[in-house]
Amino acid sequence: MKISLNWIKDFVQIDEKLTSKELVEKITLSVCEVEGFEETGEHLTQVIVAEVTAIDPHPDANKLSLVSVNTGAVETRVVCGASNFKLGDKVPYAGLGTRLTGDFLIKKATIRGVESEGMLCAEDELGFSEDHDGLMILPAESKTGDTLADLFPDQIDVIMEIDNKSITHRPDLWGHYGFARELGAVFRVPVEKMEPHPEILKGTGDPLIEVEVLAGDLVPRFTGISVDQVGVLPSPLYIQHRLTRVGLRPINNMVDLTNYVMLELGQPMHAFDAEQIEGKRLTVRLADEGTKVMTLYQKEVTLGTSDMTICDANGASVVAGVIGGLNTGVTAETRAVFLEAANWDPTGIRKTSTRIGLRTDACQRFEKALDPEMTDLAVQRAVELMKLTNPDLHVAGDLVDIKNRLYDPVRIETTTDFICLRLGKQIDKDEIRDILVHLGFDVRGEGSELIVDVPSYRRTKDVSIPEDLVEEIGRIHGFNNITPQAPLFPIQRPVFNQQHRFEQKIRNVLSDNGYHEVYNYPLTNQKSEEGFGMDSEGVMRLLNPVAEHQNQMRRSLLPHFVQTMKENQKNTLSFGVFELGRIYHKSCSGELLEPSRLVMGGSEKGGSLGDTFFRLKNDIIKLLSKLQVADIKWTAIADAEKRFFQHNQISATIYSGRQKLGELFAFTPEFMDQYELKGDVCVADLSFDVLFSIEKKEYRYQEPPKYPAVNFEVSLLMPEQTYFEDIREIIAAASPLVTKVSFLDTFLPEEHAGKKSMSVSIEFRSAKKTLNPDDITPLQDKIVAVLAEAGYYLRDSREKE
Amino acid sequence: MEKNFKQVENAFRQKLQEVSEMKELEDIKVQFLGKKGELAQFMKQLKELSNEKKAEIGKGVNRLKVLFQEKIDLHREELKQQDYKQRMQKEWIDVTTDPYQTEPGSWHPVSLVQQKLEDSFMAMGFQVLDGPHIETEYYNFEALNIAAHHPARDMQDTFYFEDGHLLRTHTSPIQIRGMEKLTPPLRIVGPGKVFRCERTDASHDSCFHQFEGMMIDKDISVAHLIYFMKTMLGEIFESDVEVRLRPGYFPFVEPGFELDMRCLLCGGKGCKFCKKVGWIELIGCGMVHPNVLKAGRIDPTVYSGFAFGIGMDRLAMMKYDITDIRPLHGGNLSFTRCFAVQ
Repeated sequence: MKISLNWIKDFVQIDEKLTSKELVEKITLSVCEVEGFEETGEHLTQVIVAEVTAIDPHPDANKLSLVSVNTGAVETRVVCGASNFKLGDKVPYAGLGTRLTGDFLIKKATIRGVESEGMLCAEDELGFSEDHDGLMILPAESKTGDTLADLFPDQIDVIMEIDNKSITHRPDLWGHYGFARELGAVFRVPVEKMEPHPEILKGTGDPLIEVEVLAGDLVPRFTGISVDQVGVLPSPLYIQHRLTRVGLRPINNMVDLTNYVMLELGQPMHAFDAEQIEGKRLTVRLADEGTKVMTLYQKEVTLGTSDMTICDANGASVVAGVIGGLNTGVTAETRAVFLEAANWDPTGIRKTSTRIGLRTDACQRFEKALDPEMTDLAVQRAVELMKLTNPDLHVAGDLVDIKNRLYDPVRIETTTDFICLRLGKQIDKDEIRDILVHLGFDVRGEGSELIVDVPSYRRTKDVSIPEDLVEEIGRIHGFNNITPQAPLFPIQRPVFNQQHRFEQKIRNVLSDNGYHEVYNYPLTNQKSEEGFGMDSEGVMRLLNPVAEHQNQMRRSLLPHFVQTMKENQKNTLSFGVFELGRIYHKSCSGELLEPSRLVMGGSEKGGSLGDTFFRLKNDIIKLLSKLQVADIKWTAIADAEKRFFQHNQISATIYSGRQKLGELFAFTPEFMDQYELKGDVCVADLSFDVLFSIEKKEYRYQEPPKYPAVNFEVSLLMPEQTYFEDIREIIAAASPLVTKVSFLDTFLPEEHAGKKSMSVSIEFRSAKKTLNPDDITPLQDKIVAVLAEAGYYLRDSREKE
Repeated sequence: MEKNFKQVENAFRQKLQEVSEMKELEDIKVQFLGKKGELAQFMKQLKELSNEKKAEIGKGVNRLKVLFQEKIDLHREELKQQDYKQRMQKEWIDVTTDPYQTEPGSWHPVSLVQQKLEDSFMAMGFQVLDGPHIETEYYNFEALNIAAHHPARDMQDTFYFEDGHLLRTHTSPIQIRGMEKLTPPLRIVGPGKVFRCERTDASHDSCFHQFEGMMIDKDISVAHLIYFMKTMLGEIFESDVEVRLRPGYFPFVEPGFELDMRCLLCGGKGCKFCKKVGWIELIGCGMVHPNVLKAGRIDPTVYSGFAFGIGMDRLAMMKYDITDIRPLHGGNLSFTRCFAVQ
């Protein structure tokens, strides 16, 4: 919303020494956000009223003419392209060296061979409007030689752009008068009162238009008056200029003046052509389903049963609070108008405006909960302004004023001590009272005690509790006058968020090992989840997605994560990435769950998929060690549990004890093709929650073993696809003296087709004595025997040490 | 005899000079000092000689023994040093290459900022809390004093689910959950993902990250709020920052503020980054509204507090000069590698 400083100054005196920048900063710090400001009209001090004394054709161009003008002091001649003027007209003349809007400098120029001593200006070149259709013709009574700044002093102004969002809670700031009131408080100066003058609205008896309000709880107040002997004319120039400066296009006095009142007081108005109101009667009521209204914008809208309308005998003619109707609107032929200023239920207006997709200046204001006590003032102001162009205007019939539901009075009882305590600053009692009074509050009470009555324009939703007064005092006194202060707080035992610390550990270990942390969107769609075998069971689907590919919550990190890997493979094949994030689903019992997962992925150029797997496995082992998760076991994923995208051979389940931590796997070649993955790719999908909650192995000192270990190496023959883990379990179970079983290597011996030889190292140790050959030999025999029993025979055996 | 000594000594010196390997040195040692070596030969002759002569020769042999031993030890040491040198000479590598090329990994920039914020607030005695992303209308709106018909509740701002749940639009529900769980005095912060029904552009995303904070005790004031905000920003940007409060409207605080930070790039003169204003809008904050305290089962006549919310994406963008919010999601390595010193 644009606000004119001159308009504000109609009501309040502002120190002339204050720069625009300082003033804007005051408003920003004490009232609301000013997004920017523009100083207008300064150049008009250099543009002069000139009288056209001669018009001659240009010798070399049909469309140009040579215009001689009298600028008061001298006679000059300029080349001019316009033709909308005649001898004796007063026009704006910009001499050489004048700087116009848009930093346009007037220089001596030769146009088609003729020298031009300056320029005659159109409205747009002077910043009056966008009009470039011809020269701006000045009023005939203007004095030649005067500057345009003398002629239109109001045009030298400061226009501020207010951030609408910063005043959504301030219905009183949707007009210039509200800003005047605020500045009055900020500078502690008096503000011109806007008071009802009933004599202005004094009519001649019964209202000419009868009004009936149904659904009164949605229409707090409806005020209107009929006036006749109006002429639809252009508005006074200064009003046209003001409206233009704040971004409105002047149309005619009827439209302009209702707009003017809205911008001044914040109260939107509507002017009906009184003669077009069928039946001379308006009914304010909720629309019937499917009611159609042809709006002033000449577009038809369809209403529903919760939209408020104003109807005449022909049916709905106005979408109340949003937009007027074409049929009863003011035209050039209008002779009598019915001026309406009403107050509508804010929520209803917002809903109607959203439904029909129209955001007008009116509905933008009504939805903020305007003060219903200003409707009569608005009507009065409109009539007053109309008399400027229509001195003969006649108020026909008395004011219609239907009050249904005014806001209750609000009284706040508090103390100045409370206010100071909340602000953390001692502010003088008198200053507090003074600020409140300047803002229009009625203040009573002795000493620290404050009994505050809230004015009608602040009590529709904004001010109701003592804390609201803390804000009023704070902002006018200046929040930045408060000194920051550390609170006194007892030292307490710190409570750490262990889960976040755990996450931090994971990020540290993985980034230390070369993995990059990525975030993917938690929103996805069914198609991408189906690609990973998820049906729609338990899915949380959005009612109002912004995009089709983001219409439900993810139930696995994998789909987006794999996509991330694929995208990165376009630039580089060798990398590691990880993501820590939540997945979302509804359990069978209807409970909403947000478990956290950890996924890791490794991509390599290609060569050995096994190497990629083992590199990731090694990194996981390091991670688990750092997380103090112990008793880790890796097993091939059982066929029954294997999902279709997991590699038949290269996929493992990771356990800690009996708890499943997650899986590490490669993809099937088919899946790799389908998802356009290249090289060697393995991913791990782990449950963060299990990792976090599982019992951790604490660090404990252990005395070094007292007695030496004895190592025994065996090479066994076995089918090629035998897992070391199976062998390890057999050996470990053979005797409690087996303290460690390590994998050494495998190879494929030529003499045993289809078999492999696996070498393992077995460590024996007793906590009670040094093992001697008499102890060891039977042990070795036993192990060889149990292995043989399981079908694993020695290739050869030898004792080490 | 004298002459023989001289000859042996000369022979020894001659031989020693020619030695270039440890093995040869050991051979010489055997040849001259061994049980059957040159010096031992002299001793064998002793019994045939007079006592006087015995003493003379014994003295000569001993002198040579000591001398030879010294020379051999010295030479051995030289050979060792030579050998070390030669071995290292052969062990040349090109130290300017990096054949392993394991690349340094990284934290997500928002994780970095979040950690920094958590660390500084933990140090000031705040507790870090979490909350669900899928929330109820109660926690996201009602308990936060956002009226039933407030525009924020519209479908154009908030993602709703078929069952009436919604995706939290801010981290503020953590305030309510925190108050329900703890009793005042309390100091809590809550970071996390939030969601808005928004079209994506360079500075907006439908999913972004906030950091929420709240402190409640008796007589908490605006002065305390400013103190913590200044401290937090000073920590993040690692410099003294100037802040200002302006009125701002959030239903869950009263009074409510927008907190601006003096632009660190231009020092407040106005630049492209701060859009010529000299200040950067960073934090929404204020004094906790009594209705919100009540929703948290805290008596507003006894306690007061402040609350704030800050956009972590924006902080990360400012701190690391990120010009577009969109790469924060998706994990493009050319983005992510910037957060590891390569």
